[in-house]
Amino acid sequence: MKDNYLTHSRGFLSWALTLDHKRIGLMYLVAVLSSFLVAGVMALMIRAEHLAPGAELVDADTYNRLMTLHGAIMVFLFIIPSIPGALGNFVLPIMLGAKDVAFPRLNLASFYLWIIGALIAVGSIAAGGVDGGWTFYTPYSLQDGRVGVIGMTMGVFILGFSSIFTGLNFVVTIHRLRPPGMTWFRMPLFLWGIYATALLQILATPVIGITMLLLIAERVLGIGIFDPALGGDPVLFQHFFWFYSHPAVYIMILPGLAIISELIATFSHKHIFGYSFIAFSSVAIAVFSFLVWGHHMFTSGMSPLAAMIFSALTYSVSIPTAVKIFNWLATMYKGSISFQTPMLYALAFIFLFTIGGLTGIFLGSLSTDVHLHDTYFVVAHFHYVMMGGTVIAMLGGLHYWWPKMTGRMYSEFWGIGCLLVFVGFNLTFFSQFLLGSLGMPRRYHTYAAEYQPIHMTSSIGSFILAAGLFVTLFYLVHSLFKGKLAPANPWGGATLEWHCSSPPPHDNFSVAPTVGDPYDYSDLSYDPQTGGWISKPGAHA
Amino acid sequence: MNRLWDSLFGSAGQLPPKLSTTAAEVDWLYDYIYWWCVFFFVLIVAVMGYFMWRYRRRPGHGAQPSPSHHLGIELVWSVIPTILIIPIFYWGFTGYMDLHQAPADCVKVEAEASQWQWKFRYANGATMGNKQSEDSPYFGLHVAPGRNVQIILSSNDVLHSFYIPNFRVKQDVVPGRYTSVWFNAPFVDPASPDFEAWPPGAPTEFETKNGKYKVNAHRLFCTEYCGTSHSTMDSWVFVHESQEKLEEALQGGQRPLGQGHAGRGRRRAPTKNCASCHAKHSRRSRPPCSGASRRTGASRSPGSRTAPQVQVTVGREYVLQSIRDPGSQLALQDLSNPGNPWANNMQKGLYPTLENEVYRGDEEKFKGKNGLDAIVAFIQSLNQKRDGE
Amino acid sequence: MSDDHGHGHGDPNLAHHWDTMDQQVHAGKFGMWLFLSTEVLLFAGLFCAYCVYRGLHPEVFAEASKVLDWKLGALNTVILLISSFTMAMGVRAAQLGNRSQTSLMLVLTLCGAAGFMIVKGVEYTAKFEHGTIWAGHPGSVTGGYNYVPQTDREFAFPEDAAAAPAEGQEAHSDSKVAALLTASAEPSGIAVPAGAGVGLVPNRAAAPPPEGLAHGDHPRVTTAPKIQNMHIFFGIYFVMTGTHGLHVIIGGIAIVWVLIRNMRGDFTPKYNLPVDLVGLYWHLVDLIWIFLFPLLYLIHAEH
Ligand code: HEA
Ligand code: HEA
Ligand code: CUA
Ligand SMILES: [Cu+2]
Repeated sequence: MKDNYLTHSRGFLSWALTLDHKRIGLMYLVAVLSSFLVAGVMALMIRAEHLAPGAELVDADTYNRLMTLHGAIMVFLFIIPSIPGALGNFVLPIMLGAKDVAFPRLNLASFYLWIIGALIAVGSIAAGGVDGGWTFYTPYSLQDGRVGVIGMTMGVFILGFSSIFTGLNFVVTIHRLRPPGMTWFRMPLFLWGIYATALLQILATPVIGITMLLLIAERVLGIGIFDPALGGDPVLFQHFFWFYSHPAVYIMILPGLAIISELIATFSHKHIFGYSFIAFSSVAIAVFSFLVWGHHMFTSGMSPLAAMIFSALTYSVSIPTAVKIFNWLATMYKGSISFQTPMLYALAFIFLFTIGGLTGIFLGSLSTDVHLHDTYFVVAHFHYVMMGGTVIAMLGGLHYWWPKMTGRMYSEFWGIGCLLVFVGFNLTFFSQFLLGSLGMPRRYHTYAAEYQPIHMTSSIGSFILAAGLFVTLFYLVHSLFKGKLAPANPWGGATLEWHCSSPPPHDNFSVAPTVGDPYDYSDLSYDPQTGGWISKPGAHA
Repeated sequence: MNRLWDSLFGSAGQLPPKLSTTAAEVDWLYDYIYWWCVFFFVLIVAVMGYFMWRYRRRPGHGAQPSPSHHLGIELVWSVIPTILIIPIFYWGFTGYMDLHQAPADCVKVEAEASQWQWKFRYANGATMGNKQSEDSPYFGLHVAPGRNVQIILSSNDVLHSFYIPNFRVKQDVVPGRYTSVWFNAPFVDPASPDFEAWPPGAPTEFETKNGKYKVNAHRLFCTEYCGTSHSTMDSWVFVHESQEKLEEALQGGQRPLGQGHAGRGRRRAPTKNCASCHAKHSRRSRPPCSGASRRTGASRSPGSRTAPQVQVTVGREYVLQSIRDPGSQLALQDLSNPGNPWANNMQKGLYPTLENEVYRGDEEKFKGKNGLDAIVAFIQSLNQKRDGE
Repeated sequence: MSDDHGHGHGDPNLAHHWDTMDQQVHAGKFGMWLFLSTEVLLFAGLFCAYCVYRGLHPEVFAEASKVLDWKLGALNTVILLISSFTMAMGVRAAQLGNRSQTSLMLVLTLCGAAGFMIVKGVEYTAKFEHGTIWAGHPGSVTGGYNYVPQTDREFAFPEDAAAAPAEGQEAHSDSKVAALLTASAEPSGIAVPAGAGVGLVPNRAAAPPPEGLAHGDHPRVTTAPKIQNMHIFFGIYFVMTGTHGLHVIIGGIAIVWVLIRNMRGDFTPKYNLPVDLVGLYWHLVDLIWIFLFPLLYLIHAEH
């Protein structure tokens, strides 16, 4: 193998102190997937508990902690940093044609902030665990004996800064490190998505920072801002929390949407349809997302006027999202569609995310939300968008860039694991819509007997889903050792990362790349010898 | 399986039966949204599936040239959904206002939430718990059919939420303020063919010492996480056959809860400053003030630190005296214990007298058995565990 | 420092992924501006909390604000303004390559920071002594909080009427209920104006303690403000000034860092980005105080 970023230097320190965005990306990948595994196992315990209505496996306190940690780890440790931290770090500079992100040391610092924040957050288990849900609503989170809340909020605070620095780095990189020829409208849509995400990270995250600080101050000192017993307003906390956490759900999904744009175009082998609409819809989603946080609080006793405004604004986000979906379909039109594993994930994404998004409409509408709020309907909604959306997109992206990152091809045959995931997922979470509509409240350790059949379906589904994910993990790891060597461009992508070798050299590009239309596939042809795609000789300058 | 099949067809299979007057409106909108969602979902998946098949990569078939943007079509698929959501929003809002604005002629029942129980207090003072217990042989929320009922919600500790799926109503219960929710539920004879129940095995009778009474029962849940037993903080709503039957059923059976001194005092105390330290869940440390425990008291006369040692019984006098002059009943061992910050502050006179508050505030209201005595009783009734006695 | 790979730029301060120093400096400043925007947003959260509570309790804020010593606040404002000026001078000196003047100016700025913290310390101490602090602190005298839901406390069941049937009463008579309700204060029912703020009783500026009962002989009690819910103001006050103070300290540490680098001779007229960035940060800290001062000290100032 040629010298590449993996072999460039050796030893533990060459990784631990690396400033190379690719290595940092890889370290993020390991870190976030480990969190996913941990929180996923907790989810399986939750599902196992719900096989029967009573207290079967764990007691109430344990259940409540499992449920809280599952949510908090999935959100703060896994999904928010997942795509930007792991895939974004790896791919963004290369796609852009840059040698690194703008501030490599800050990048490394973000990673270590993640580690510190994660350790503190997970360490709160040692301090007696945290319950109360990932939302930390006051005054419950202020009650006696909930010491773990301090650790968890401290962890979230630090993770927030990790996220801010990542976003800041990406924004500056995209503004200042575009090589000549890489104009804004020649940027691959993945970069637009990451850019919009980064804006959200910078502008929304500070608010969760101060919220967490206030919560700690309230807990430790009794500052009296959120505690009704001291004259504070618990609903104010909810406003603070959702002011960040609603934009945060778009921090989660925007990179996912961005990956799908790449996948659909590459595997349809056709120019993306409506480039500028997709690009601007990302920015529009980012902007609108700041205005809708109140839709999580329709039953909190908010004024009807506020509820009305938040409901109306909530729908504004659906339109740019719809635009993306329709544009993907139009991209497939008259394409040449191949069903390699990343594309399977992309198609699964469209299916699942559409369900997740559409059910958001039930929740955004005021009178129906009164019935559905805090039931399993909401749980199903956000798993469809987060797991069925972001995680599926992330897995798609992972498969897509896997050859680039590791230099190895995985076995396409086992890509069938995707099917297992798809079936298991729908079984798990579609049934939860029914549960919710029928009134099953969320965050329940035990439940009323009439819900058992549906709960059981859901639990069985989750085991199938888990099997699919473990198969996936297994064949990916297997490919590291036994996989075929990857060609530079295994899928026929036209963005810049496919111009450099797999894995890329330390400096990304030995020769400065020529920047063209990122979705122009006309000069690519398949070369059976290498198993990759190459530019037709002479087709490109 | 049957249920699963039914559930493809909107609210009828997906939601519990509509058992309040407002439910139909909610369900109608639910269906409206549902069918539009089905429409878009089927459209998207069908188009996707068709393209997948039609344009699959195969020998001799490559991508065909087609435009990569088209303003007109972009506008079409942006504008159509925009138009579609306007009525959804509008009906959602009007439905919400209907749920929100209680009619003027509501019968009011107070529901007080605390970890992890509901207490329903009726206008005549009768109080019932959410579950059967020795304290409360009768339980649940009993209402007459066809009446507008408003539930006034308050919380003693953390957030809770009041939810009756069959009525499609839900409202958070927020400590420190009142919220409310209203509904109007019909009664259908369980024997009649029109009778629909959710859950399927819901009780159809409520037994009291006066006999068995027909009811329609609906589940009531707490839907805001409130701690360990959040999932068992549930109850039933019993809709009786008629107002008369309701009265007859519960006649003479239920001793009002919380009607003793302590109970009244608890309801008073928050209006005074007491509860900042003495509330059950207050995080602030507080002096012991309950039980019959004797403590060595050090009466502090103004200006002198070395007060005569006297025996003080922690009883009514002790509490009354402490309300007048907070530092006056301090015990020496309190002062020497650094873990008792309140003791030092009292010593320094940093606690304001509550004389003004308690005695002067509303002279009338706080006289006699309804006033101060009740507060004293309440304070004495508190669990003093956390003072580490 | 930057990674191991050699590159032909020559300037050791230029990282490998930049083409020119200029590009790097611009990116650095751009990054700093973005970071400052996150700081602004962080404080924006606090300002929102301030607005909410001031909106709910205007009279508490007006009263409690008088307890603060506006003269000390003003002194601090002046100190910070001067330090901002010296910081700017320092940046300029660094750009001109005047090392000793840079150091001097940075030291002066540091003095400003220290002075600010000392004055703040004096103020804090006084607050703690008087117990005019946040509610949860055991020494708080303003913590006499009030925890009354916002509707009339007698809304539902007048105590005596409820107590009347006592033991063995007739339970449940909705007609009685109706009668009771019309009798009680709120004919319009309890349609809580939802969202109308926390359920705090509007502040009743405390009546003077009745003679004979007041702790006249206890100076602390008499000086302690006799107003309810004051702690709400002080909670906000301590959070805001505390967070700001933390930023002053962080800024101070950053200044020490550039000061050391300056004395080591790291900076040249071409490369002085860190001084510049720390300067920006310091101005922001100053700016935030300019907002805090009137909002906290000058509400309803008496002349
Ligand atoms: C990835 C994360 C993600 C995403 C993308 C979304 C997307 C959306 N969400 Fe979701 N949401 C969450 C994560 C997410 N959500 C989480 C985590 C919670 C719960 C938090 C908690 O309480 O723990 C939640 C809760 C939540 C609530 C609060 C529910 C409650 O607690 O009562 C609401 C209410 O409005 C809502 C609405 C929406 C809407 C309208 C969208 C829209 O953006 C969806 C837009 C997409 C579409 C609409 C589909 C495509 C469009 C078409 C096919 C066109 C046709 C459409 C129409 C004609 C309308 N969400
Ligand atoms: C990213 C977000 C995310 C993801 C992916 C998931 C995934 C899952 N969640 Fe989670 N969930 C939340 C976020 C998420 N959840 C949140 C925010 C809450 C709310 C908490 C609260 O109320 O406060 C919640 C709550 C929640 C509940 C409700 C609990 C309650 O209200 O009482 C349930 C119940 O079924 C549940 C189940 C599951 C299941 C079965 C999965 C499964 O999909 C998990 C499957 C995963 C695995 C089995 C791990 C396998 C992983 C690997 C093998 C490694 C992967 C590596 C490769 C493939 C390369 N979740
Ligand atoms: Cu009470 Cu949940
Ligand atoms: Cu949201």
